[in-house]
Amino acid sequence: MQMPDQDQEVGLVDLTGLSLDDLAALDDSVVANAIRLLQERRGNGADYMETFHDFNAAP
Amino acid sequence: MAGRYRLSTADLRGLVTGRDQLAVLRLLRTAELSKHQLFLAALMREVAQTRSAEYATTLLPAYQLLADIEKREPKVVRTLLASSQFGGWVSDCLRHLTSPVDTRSNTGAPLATDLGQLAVIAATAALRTGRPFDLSVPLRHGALTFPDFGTAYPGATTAWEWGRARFDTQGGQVMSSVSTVQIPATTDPPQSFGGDWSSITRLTTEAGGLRFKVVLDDRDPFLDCYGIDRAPVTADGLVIWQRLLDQTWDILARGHRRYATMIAAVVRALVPLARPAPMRPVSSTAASAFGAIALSLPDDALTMAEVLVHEFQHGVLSAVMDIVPLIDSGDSLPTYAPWREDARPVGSLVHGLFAHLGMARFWHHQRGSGSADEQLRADVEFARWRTLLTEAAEVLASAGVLTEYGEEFLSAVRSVLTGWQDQTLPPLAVEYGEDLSLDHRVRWRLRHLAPDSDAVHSLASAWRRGSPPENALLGLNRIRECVPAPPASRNIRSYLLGLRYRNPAQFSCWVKRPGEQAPDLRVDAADKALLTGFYASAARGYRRRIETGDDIDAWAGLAVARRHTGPARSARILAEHPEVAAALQRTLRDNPRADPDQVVAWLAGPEPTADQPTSARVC
Repeated sequence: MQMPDQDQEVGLVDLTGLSLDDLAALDDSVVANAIRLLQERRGNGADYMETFHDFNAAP
Repeated sequence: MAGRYRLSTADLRGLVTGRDQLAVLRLLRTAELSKHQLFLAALMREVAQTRSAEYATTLLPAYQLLADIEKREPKVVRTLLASSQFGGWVSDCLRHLTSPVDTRSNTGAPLATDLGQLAVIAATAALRTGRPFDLSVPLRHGALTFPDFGTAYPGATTAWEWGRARFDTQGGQVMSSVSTVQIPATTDPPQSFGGDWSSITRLTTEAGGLRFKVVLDDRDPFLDCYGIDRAPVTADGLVIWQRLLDQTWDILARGHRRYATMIAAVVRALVPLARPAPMRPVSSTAASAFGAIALSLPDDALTMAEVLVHEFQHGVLSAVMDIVPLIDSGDSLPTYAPWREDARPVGSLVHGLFAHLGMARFWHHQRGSGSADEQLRADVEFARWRTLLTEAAEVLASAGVLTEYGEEFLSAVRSVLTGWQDQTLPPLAVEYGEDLSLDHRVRWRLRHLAPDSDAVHSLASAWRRGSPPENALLGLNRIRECVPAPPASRNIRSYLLGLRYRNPAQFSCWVKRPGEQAPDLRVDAADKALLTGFYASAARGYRRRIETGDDIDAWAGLAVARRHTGPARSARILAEHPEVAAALQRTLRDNPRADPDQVVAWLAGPEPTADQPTSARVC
């Protein structure tokens, strides 16, 4: 399965209309490209496992 | 056919300015589901290519079971895929599989065990829908936790033994080499503690007609992702959590309706954390676990409300950043963030700004509510964060690290802050806020900024010659790298500077009888003088501490004391260049005239005469 606008560089891909069977049939390059964009978007070396620990850090 | 998520600048501004954004939150929730689906697709492909045996025996059967259930009960499967537990699992496994360096799984389990969690997730969907199944499942120290459901404890002979889970006409069962555990027939069993089955702990509260329902998840292995130990919930602890949440929800649902509505729409799990130290509450949000907030048991309902708003903001912005880029991916220099002990990349200020903006808005709305002590607390927090956020926004604005969306975001943040500038605050609130902020900033500068050594030697030579200092030398410094956070117990004065307005009664006990509060901690005479307003006495004590050795806390204390006593120019040096004063004083330590106050006064230059303008405010 190909995506109509996979060349667009901004915006997480919307997969909510796809079933698990559809997901399994996705083109490998589409998945790889979407993952790459998502990781790049976080910036500053942070990845999608980033955690935020800044509440009341002073004490 | 699949498209892409888009977030308009109006939506982005609405999130920042605090407008009711339920429609945007719905979009963010579905976007996070899409992210989980994408990760699952990537994970399946990666495992198929690199671990074909596990793919065939574990992942594929589980995936096919989920896909079959989805055909009849799509909502059940979608809910599971969208959950923070699923997000934590799929993110952790994917990172483990694809990282160029050998990262350790968050769970500490073998990768095969973690990958096998998909079978547990499929089993959960099957149990919820009454679909017969029989799957091989990974146990963890003899236990098996079904996400958002409960834990079976069949026991095991090894830590990572594999058992079986099944559902048939006999009901649900989990089997190990040791025993078989019967799973309750209901899909929402009552909470239970002990025995071989423990249902997940749920908290439900309602105020002002608004309900908030969450799990208190102390057991899902993939919500153990915050780098802080979790705190197991006991039956007694559950009562305390429920009572505190009831009080908190009363504050939020009645006084902060928009936040309460948005939190109720997004947050599905609270993860109880253990405090690293008694006076050090913690909370956290993970980009991989949208809808989960991790927190230690807060001291009071106001604090819990503040934490929920703060961490909710982190979760929302993290989801936003999955859709639109706010920060350019280029490197940026580390800088001061008033909410952190370490040095942070400038771009990371985006997250802190958004989270603390929510907090500041909470306190802004909270002003004038409750007892006199509670009103002072709201005033201090609002005063403090209004100032710190304004400064941080300026740093971010000048850093050149934002994308077009990021600039829009920052513009909205600044418009909110501008709207707050004309709010009049009680002087005591401003003073308490500035003391705490100054203490933090000075300690940070001393830990993270290294003055240029040639500049320090030039200053020392000038001192010895009796010449005035060269002001240009003051600003020459660089960020030290990889400075670890200080032990919690070292920062007891900072904690008390906060406690004096957060809980005046407890503060009073601390100052009068510190040994009774925590036997292993002490407040020394200088700190006690500072905390009780005897600033000249505090300054003398800090000078003595500095003269006997390097003492970052003493320099910070001296800065706070001199903010109150003056001289104004010395106070400014201590606030703005404490790392230079400390380095110079260290260099001159053998000189009998080089007491800290004299070094600072020399760096500051002569005080203006009465008819010359001066500026005594330094932070």
